[in-house]
Amino acid sequence: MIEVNGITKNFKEIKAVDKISFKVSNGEIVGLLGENGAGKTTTLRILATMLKPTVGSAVVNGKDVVKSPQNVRKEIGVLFGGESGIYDRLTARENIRYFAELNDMPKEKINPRIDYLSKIFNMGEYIDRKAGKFSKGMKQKVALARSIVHDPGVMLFDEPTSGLDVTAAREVHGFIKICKEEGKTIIFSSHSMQEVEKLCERVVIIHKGKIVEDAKLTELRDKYDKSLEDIFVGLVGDRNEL
Amino acid sequence: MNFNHVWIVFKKELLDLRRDKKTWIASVLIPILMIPLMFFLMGLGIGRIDQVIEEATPVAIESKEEADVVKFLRKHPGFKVLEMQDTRKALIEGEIMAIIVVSENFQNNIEKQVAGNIKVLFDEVSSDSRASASKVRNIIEDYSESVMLKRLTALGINPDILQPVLITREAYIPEGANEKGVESMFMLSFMLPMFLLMYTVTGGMPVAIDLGSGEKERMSLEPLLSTNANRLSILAGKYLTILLAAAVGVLTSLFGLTIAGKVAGEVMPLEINLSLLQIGLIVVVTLLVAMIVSAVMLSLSIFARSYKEAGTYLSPLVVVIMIPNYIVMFTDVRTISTEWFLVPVLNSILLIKEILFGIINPLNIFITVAVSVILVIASIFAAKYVFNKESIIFRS
Ligand SMILES: Nc1ncnc2c1ncn2[C@@H]1O[C@H](COP(=O)(O)OP(=O)(O)OP(=O)(O)O)[C@@H](O)[C@H]1O
Ligand SMILES: [Mg+2]
Repeated sequence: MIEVNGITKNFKEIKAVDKISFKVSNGEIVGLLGENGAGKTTTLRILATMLKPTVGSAVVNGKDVVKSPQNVRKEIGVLFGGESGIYDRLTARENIRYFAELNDMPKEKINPRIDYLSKIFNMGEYIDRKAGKFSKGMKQKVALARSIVHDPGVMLFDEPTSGLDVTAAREVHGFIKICKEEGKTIIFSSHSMQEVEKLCERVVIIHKGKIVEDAKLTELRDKYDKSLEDIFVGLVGDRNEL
Repeated sequence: MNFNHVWIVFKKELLDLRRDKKTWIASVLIPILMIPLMFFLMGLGIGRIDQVIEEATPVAIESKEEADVVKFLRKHPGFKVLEMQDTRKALIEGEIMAIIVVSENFQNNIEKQVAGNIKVLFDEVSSDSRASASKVRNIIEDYSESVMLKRLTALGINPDILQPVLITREAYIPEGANEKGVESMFMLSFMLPMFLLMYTVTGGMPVAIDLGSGEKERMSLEPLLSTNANRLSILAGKYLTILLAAAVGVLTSLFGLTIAGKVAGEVMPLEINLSLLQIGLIVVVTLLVAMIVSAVMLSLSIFARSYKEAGTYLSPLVVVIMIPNYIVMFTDVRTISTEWFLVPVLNSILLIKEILFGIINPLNIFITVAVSVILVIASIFAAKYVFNKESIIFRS
């Protein structure tokens, strides 16, 4: 369960996020959709306790991100997009184990868990090889496995498929679906309505730091009677007017 | 702080670094090889000068007559007198090291007891030629003295009349110390603090760059910070890794110094007899500096946006740490006042010098340790501040 209550985040004069509020119930998967600079990463960073909101607060599984960030971090698995951020000189397994240990997993459970993730993620071939020479897709899978190795209830994925080719992106989608089946609460950000359509029932559209739409996809289709892509463009595509 | 998390971070960083060639080179290979190599090269240089002095030096003599001095020079084992047409050309080409020009009527003048002139020409660009010129001069002075003695004896005068006072200067060597040892210690008191402090910087630098800005560069900092480990524990794990690398640099350089004593051989014998207490104190003092330097480097590295930027911030530290070394290079530790020991880093250098000379001054040791500990704490807090600052972690 995630509750965002009127969060504003300013970087000096830039209002990255402006009084946003939304909820994600347990076991739900929600797409945070927006263009470049809309405020997606900032929102997820606040939920992950990496940034403090200027105003407002958020609660993750009953824990307040401002008052008890340490406890919030126990509940979440985080993946920040773009670069996967894994250590080149460590093997895939060592990378994943490092995070398992830092997340206080019991020692004896770590290796079986890594083996399990490696299997459902098809990483068996390279799980014990050093990550330096991995392709981007391989690295991203390691990063995903690492972010959920400790089996968190809430997952925050920031553009998990950015920079991946179709096949790799598909694998990541498959992986997110598995998480969903396991009953995780998931927010993932994206700038593509297509991707959101594939994975979620609900979408929160953010534009210039403000939430411009928050609805089930079916509701959106009924409400606008357009394709979702057109709806998104209609909501945020005011560039030509500027 | 969670010590388990500190340990996990420390362990991972070590594993990571063990696989990194850069670290091995900076923290182990260079410190071990640097001092022996320097000694070896210096030894070569000094050996070369000795060689020039010892070997028969090729010279040319320009003289109209076969004066006594010419005969003397020809016979002298220090010279090989060559006959040639164009002596100047031979000098410039390095075929001969000096030209000895004996003035006209030299023999006549000597006999008339008028000063005879001898000019020694050397090649200003050649250090060998310069060294040879002074050798020629010394030998001719020997000749001059022998003439003088003859004259005095002829007059029935005791030659001692020209030297009313005989002065001998001798360094006092305390009992139990040998002369070589004291000399080596003096040399060492210049070099050792410099090297030790330099390795506190260079030993830990690549590690600091990797552990701070490296996390930003490969975008692993954010995932790392969003784990259960709090920032202080992560920082502590990283700090300890850098400190270890710096300490390894310092210890391997000491090891290198021991090898140097052997490699340098006769050219630069290092007869160092340090007690365990002395060695222990030197290591402790150096580690205190390493602790300060490591925290500073980690802060700067976390502050930096990228590897490159971190390199730019950190490399000047090598020069910065040299400055106090130069300031106290010629400071006399026997007469230095206690206030100097209030200056951080500088006090460590002075203390190492003192310890090398066998001066164990508890007050100075106490002040140095106290000042360093305060600075260590301050620098760790600085690192913690940097690491907790949102705008620094997400600087772009
Ligand atoms: N650390 C920061 N310092 C200053 N400004 C920032 C910082 N982080 C984000 N911003 C600004 O805040 C705004 C929102 O950025 P954010 O990264 O949240 O957008 P985004 O939706 O994730 O965009 P993208 O699709 O490009 O990743 C942008 O204008 C950005 O320039
Ligand atoms: Mg973003």
